[in-house]
Parts: sequence; structure tokens; C-alpha cells
Amino acid sequence: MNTTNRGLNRLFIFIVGLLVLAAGAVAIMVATVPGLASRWRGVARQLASGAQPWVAAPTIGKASLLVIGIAVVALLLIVLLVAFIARQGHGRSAAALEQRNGATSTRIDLSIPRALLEEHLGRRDELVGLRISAYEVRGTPMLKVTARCRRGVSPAVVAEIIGRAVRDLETIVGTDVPTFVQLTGGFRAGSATRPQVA
Amino acid sequence: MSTDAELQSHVLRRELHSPKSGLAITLAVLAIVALAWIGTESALAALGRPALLLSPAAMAAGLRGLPSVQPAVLVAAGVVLALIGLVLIVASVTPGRRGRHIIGDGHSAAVVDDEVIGSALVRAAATEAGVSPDRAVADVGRRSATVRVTPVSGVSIDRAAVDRVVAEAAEGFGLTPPIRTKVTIDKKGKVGG
Repeated sequence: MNTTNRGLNRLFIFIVGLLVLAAGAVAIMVATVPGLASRWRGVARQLASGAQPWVAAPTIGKASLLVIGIAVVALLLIVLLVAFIARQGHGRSAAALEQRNGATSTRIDLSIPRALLEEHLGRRDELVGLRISAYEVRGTPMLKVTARCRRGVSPAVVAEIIGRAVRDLETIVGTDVPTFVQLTGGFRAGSATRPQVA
Repeated sequence: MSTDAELQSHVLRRELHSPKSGLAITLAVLAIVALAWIGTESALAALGRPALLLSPAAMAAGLRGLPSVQPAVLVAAGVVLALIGLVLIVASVTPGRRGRHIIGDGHSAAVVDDEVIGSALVRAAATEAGVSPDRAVADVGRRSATVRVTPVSGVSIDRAAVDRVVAEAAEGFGLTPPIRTKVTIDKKGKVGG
């Protein structure tokens, strides 16, 4: 429900994959294609001997302009990558509902559905945990109900209980509340103790 | 603003597929480390300080000298790199489905983790077979699920009955896409419990 740019994630993975694949292909070809190794050496020698001053001549310390340029580009890329990482996730909303009808607008704070749903669902035996949050999806706030189900309970029953609670909430606030429900497990702790009969 | 139905299908589509954030962040961090190293070596060279691992000049020399590396080593390294690249390209274009199903009447958008479905199927199978839920395991896929029950030694289990109960349970969940179920009973039982 967050606003992670998934297309960008895929594009980034694709580009890195392409670069790594290309590097691998170059290494294989240099080793296997006859004549390529000698041509590589030739070009390298030519570049090294006829190097322009900005490539070889040290301008600051032992670093040429090329080296400094590479360092600047590296720094810029690092900034972009950090921004890319920081861009992941996000999209939480403090409002559970926002409606604009001409001149009037209605806004319902997340704390209201949170209180109502926790009151309604908190004591249900089928659930071991409940988290109510809201996200902005395409400019519209949407309520998110994450319910951790007790081991072995029917997800249909839990979905029905939560569905009823959301409908009750809609009756109370008097309008549809766009809601996303997620049922999770997390049963790593193993089963509840079972009576042993000898 | 989009309609509620559009909003729902948009959210469901996103929740059923992986955002690939983990992989993207891992790659970005590796790239940052590599770039930081190159940047640091450049800066050290500019200051005339000794390099950490390789000076920029040594890096360039290494690149020029690529053909003098033993062909076998070069091919091996190339193959490894090419495979990693291919895996990444495949990961970037495959849907990356999460182990989740859509559940319910569609009033609210709702998804359920396959783990929950499996645990409910195990409960149904174990109750019918008269064994502890710890003796049954379920493996839930996108369109099918397998429940394996380990019987108590010497007590036979009516496979057809368990099969029917599990199938009914799965149908009753109202999942999209629906799942076909299969029950297998281990040939060898275990003592006790």
C-alpha cells in the first residue's frame, strides 16, 4: 500500500543486471575470441602512450582530471542511490477518510476508526494481533487492517468478522470507508499447549 | 481521484506482488560501497596519500592488462558475472508473486497469507484424522495445496474422509484463485501423541 516506485525498482535491477552481464560477457570474450586479446592490448598501449594531459597529467596531487571527474561522478551517483533507497516505503496517511463535495469537505482522522475497530475486534479469540493504519493510495486515503490470526482458525471466518466490523464502522461514520484487509500468521512460536492424556 | 473499485484492484495487484525493494536496496548498497571505494581512492590519490587497496593508476593498469589474465580464470569469472547479471534481469521482469490469496466477498479488498490458509487446512485435516495439528503440514501454492498427515502408529486414517474435509474447508475460504487440495498420509506412523 506504500508509495514505493516499483517500476523504478525493476528498472534499477534490470540496469544493474545488464551491466553485470555485459562485464561478464567482455571477460569471456577477451579470453575466448581469438585476436580480441591482442587488439585489447594494442588499444590499451595506444591509449597509455598517447594519453591526453587531462587523462594522465596529475593536476591535484597524483590525480589527473579524469580521476577527479570519476570521483565527482561517483559522489553524484552515491547521492542518487541514497535518495533511491530513502524513497522506498512511505505513503502513510494520518487521515482514514477524506471526501470533498463541492464547498464542503470531510476528513476523518485515523484515530477514530482505529479506536472503533480495536474496540470491536480486540477481544476476538480468533485474532492475536491487530494493527490499524492508513495509507494514501493515488491521492485517496485508505484504511489498512492487518490482523494476525490464531493458528488454525479459518481465514474466511476472520475475514467475515473484520468485514462486519468495517461495515459497522461505515454505518457509524455514515459513508463508505475504502479498506484493505490483510490476514497474516506468524506461527513461528509453535502451537499452544495441548492437554496430554496419558 | 479514482473510484473505489479501481482503488481496490490497484491495491490488490500491488499487495499480491513483491515490490522488489529488498533486492533493489541490496544492489544500491553494494553500488554505494563500490562507488565510495573508487571515490576514496581518487581522493587519496589527489592528496598524494597511499592507496587503500589500489590507486586509480593501478586500477587502469589492471584494466589494460585484462588479456594477460589466464583465460580459464577470465572465463570462470565472466561466467559467474554473466549468470548473476542474468538472474538480476530475470528478477526484474518476473511478476514476483507473494504467497497470498484474495479472500472474501469483495466489499473490502482483503488478502490472506498462504501461511494462514495452510494452518487452517492443517487444523481441518488433523481434526478429521484424530491426530495433533503438529503431525500435519500443509504446503500452499497459488492454485493447489498439499496436506501431509503423519498417523499415529497402528491407527489407520481414512484418507478419503480427510481429503473431503480439507477440500470442503478450502472451498469454504472463498479464495481467489481457488486452490485444489491433496491429502497424503505418511506410510510410516509415529509412536505416541
